[in-house]
Amino acid sequence: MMSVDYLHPIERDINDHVQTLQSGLIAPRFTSNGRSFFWLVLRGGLLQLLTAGFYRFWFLTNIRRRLWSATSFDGDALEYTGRGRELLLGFLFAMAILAPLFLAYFVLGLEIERFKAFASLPLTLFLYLFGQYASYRARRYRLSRTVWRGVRFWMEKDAWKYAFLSTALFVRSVVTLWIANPWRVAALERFKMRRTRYGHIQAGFEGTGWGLFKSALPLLFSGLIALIAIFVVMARMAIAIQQSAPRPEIRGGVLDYLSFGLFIGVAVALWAAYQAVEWRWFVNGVRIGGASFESAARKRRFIGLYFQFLVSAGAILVAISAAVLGVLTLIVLGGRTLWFPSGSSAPASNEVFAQLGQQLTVPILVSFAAVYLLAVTLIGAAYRYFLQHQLWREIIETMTVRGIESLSEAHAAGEAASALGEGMLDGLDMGGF
Amino acid sequence: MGPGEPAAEDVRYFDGESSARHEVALRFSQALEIRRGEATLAAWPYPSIRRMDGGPGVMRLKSLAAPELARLDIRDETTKALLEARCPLLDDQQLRRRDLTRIVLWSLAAACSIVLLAIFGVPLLANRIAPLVPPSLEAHLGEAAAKEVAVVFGDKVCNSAEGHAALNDLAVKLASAGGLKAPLTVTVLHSKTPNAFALPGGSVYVLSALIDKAADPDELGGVLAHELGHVAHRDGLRLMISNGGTAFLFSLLMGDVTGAGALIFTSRTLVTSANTREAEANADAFAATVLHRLGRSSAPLGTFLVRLTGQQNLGALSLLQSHPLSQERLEALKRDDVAETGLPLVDSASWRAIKAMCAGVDGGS
Repeated sequence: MMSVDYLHPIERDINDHVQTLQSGLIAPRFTSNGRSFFWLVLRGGLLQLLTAGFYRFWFLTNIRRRLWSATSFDGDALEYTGRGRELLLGFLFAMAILAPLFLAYFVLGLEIERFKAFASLPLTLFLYLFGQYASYRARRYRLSRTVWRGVRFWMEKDAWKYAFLSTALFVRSVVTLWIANPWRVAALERFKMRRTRYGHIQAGFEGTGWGLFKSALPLLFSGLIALIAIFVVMARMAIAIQQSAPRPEIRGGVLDYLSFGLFIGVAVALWAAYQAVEWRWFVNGVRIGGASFESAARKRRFIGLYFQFLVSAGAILVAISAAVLGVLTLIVLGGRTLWFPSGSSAPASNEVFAQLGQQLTVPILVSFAAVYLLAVTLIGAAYRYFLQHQLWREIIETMTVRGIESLSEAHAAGEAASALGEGMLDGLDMGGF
Repeated sequence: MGPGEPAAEDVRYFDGESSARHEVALRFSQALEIRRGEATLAAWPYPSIRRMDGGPGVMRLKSLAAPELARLDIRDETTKALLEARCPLLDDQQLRRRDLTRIVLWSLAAACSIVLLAIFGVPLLANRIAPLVPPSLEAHLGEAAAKEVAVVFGDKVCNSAEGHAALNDLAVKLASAGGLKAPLTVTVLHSKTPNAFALPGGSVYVLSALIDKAADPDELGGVLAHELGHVAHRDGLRLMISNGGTAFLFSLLMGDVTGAGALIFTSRTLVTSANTREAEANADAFAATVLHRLGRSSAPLGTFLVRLTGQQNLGALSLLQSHPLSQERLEALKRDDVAETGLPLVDSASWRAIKAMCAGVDGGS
């Protein structure tokens, strides 16, 4: 059962008073309690594990219901009306369509394998096309399950056109070495937003490719400079170590790890900062009727969240490894007393391990799989907490809406779309949240 | 809000026709009356009222008797309690513990059915499909697999002309004795693992350590005949079909669960090893028949296998073993053995050439 008690009582009072900044300016609110969201995703992840993945349809639905209902504009919360059963049905229908398609893909791939290399490119593009078709339909499903003030959002049917446009622009991005990609992103957002409606009110998108390019450019430069700086400093240190320091192989090894870690850190920070830039650009571009949006999403907040996720994932891995090592030690000690009672000479640990490995191959494999899946589940929960819940909080809480009064007379229109697209994305392993 | 009496702004009504927000009052009569001033905007029968997600502190209601998206948002605790007391089916559409149990049980049932299908259904299907696959397609499959072999072993092919010719003669002799018509290629790869395998389409690979460890032509010939048995029975093709089928079934189960890879790997190892035991026994039987037809004993093959793998008789391990226990196989190979009446499989000059095949490759001995 979805609970609604995830807010501190004091916050409820604040919630009742809509924050009005200036005349006509509205600040949306996100009133979800982080800790209870974490328990929600942890419980969902464990249930997903228990059901060999089948619970995912209800899990996703619960996450969306929570995020939507905690997001309010002008004092009224969004509502997600989709249900897990719809996603399950969509998945089953999608499988019925995808199964023969995959088979055909497999056989065709074998046939043209003989011409090698570029021959399978058209097939990859076909799969990409299909994925884009599915992603349009999935957005249509999610949007048509989004309700605000008793009127639903919806989208026109145009998935194939979108798929072809997206694939063509993707090819252009590849050919231009990704330089033209901002224009692709902008064109696709325009395509989707122009087909988006709130009741009878049409939405639109004013963001441009040039705008995104311009705001991403400083990031690109600072990233390049940071990477070059790291490289130069590390190279100098490496030379210094080679020339004079004692035991150069150990110091060199430490330096290798250090520079690898730094590169990863810089890459993650750049990616996080880019996400902030793209979100800001997207939110600023959205128009729904006379309503426009403005975002002040902070890069450092995004970077912080990405690093918090990385650190917690690392901590989970360390904790689980420690637990596994502890259990193994116990087993070895136990095994020694079990198979080699006192009196006979006690063997070395590796002999006990060898003995165990031969006797318990299946249990050991199964328990390793279980530990692995548990780690993945915990890291998944951390991901959903930091990079979905907290990221969404940052996006909503730094947003202002102008002219929301123009949405107060929307007439109900549009209808609920099917979840086939979501199922296809799931089947193509492209499912999001 | 005034004490005791809920203020008007505590209840918001959205009629589902437009996004206008109506500040309304509620009257609890035969049905729930939603009123604005003197006008009744809607009357919802209590049993038709359901709870929806209103966010923190907000009770959001809909009615099955009203437009689909008509909503009533209530913030006042007293009113919430009054409604909870009056609406008998308020939480009827929520996911309850009972529904959750049902989802879990059905999922487990589905998982069981998929696993059973993978263990019993897929091999059965593979057995039916394999004979229908034209040899040309089987050859394509073999080519794709050969590329993977090249990736794993690199270009460490042992290419001595004499040894190759001698080994080919041996293979042709065994194949014709077994009535095998498919085109054959035998390749020797340099490796420290004593093993041999056959790909779909009739490519047989022998690893150099196997040649090193073979004491006489009967041992090597036995292993070669065993691999030809796989070719004759199209086991490689069947394995490919059933591996593909199981992978597909398990990915169906997992969807986008990120940890699926490990589970797929484990389950497939378990599943395929159970399936291949029978194939191995059949290939042994083929090898025995071929050797007997050539007037050679099949016992050396059995003792060679035992020598290569050691005495395995560990219960749990045998489930994971793709090959049946060597001891078991030795017994089977000895059972209907014949006395040696035929000539040696290869003459001593050819045998020396075969043994010397990998001497030139790096690390070969």
